Amino acid sequence: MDDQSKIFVVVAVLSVILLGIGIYLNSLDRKVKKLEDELKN
Amino acid sequence: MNMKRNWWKYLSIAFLLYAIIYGFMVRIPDTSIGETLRNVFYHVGMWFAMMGVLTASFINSIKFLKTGNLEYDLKANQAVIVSFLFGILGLITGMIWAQFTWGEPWANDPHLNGAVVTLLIYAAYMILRSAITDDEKRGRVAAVLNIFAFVMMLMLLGLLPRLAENTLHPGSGGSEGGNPAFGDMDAAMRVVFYPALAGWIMLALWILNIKIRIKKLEQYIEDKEWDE
Repeated sequence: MDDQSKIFVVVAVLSVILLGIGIYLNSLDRKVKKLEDELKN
Repeated sequence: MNMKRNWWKYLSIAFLLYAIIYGFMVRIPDTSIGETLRNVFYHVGMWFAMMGVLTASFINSIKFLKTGNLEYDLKANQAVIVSFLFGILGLITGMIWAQFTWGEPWANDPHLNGAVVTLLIYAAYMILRSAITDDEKRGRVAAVLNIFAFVMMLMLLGLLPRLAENTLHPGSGGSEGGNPAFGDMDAAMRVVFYPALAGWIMLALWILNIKIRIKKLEQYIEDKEWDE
């Protein structure tokens, strides 16, 4: 792997971080939705 | 998942993923700061996210003053809280960037000073809120202060830095790179920049959305406990 293309390792790392945060937010969102549905019934 | 109501949440992640991948791939013009120019897709995003959330806060304060419905006050308050997350991240990322390009983490510059003063004004909003116990009164006082704070934010971050000339931080008349928000940005970079901003703003609104819903649930439970 030559020096320039190693930057894509950083791209991969950042993408993982972003997707991780996205998945976390999604799961939070779902938990809140569940509570909303339960409490409002 | 309900796509009709939640599409923008997924879109925010998609835009940000695009911003991360293409942010590193897009060809950037030759400047004195080299590859760090790519920070513009992320650092600037923090400030636009903050401003987006503060706009939502402002709108909710207006709605509260018009209707007296405390739910608007709740939303306005949560929005200010979320704005701190992005404002502080904006400051930190800016200081990191500055350290490596200007040689020091801070400068006496209208953009930077304006950002700090803005955060201080909203901190005053939070402090004032905590000093009033009556819900209605607190909502009214907070809403009025929010309107003032919002106008100050627009002036401190939007207007004053542009009136200055040749500042260290980009965005005024003579500084290097001009103002990215007004078309001084390289055309290729704009293709990444605008979706990035949209992504950051929508992400901030998603976080706000969750916080508001949790707060409402907490209040609902609290009210039920009173009934018993």
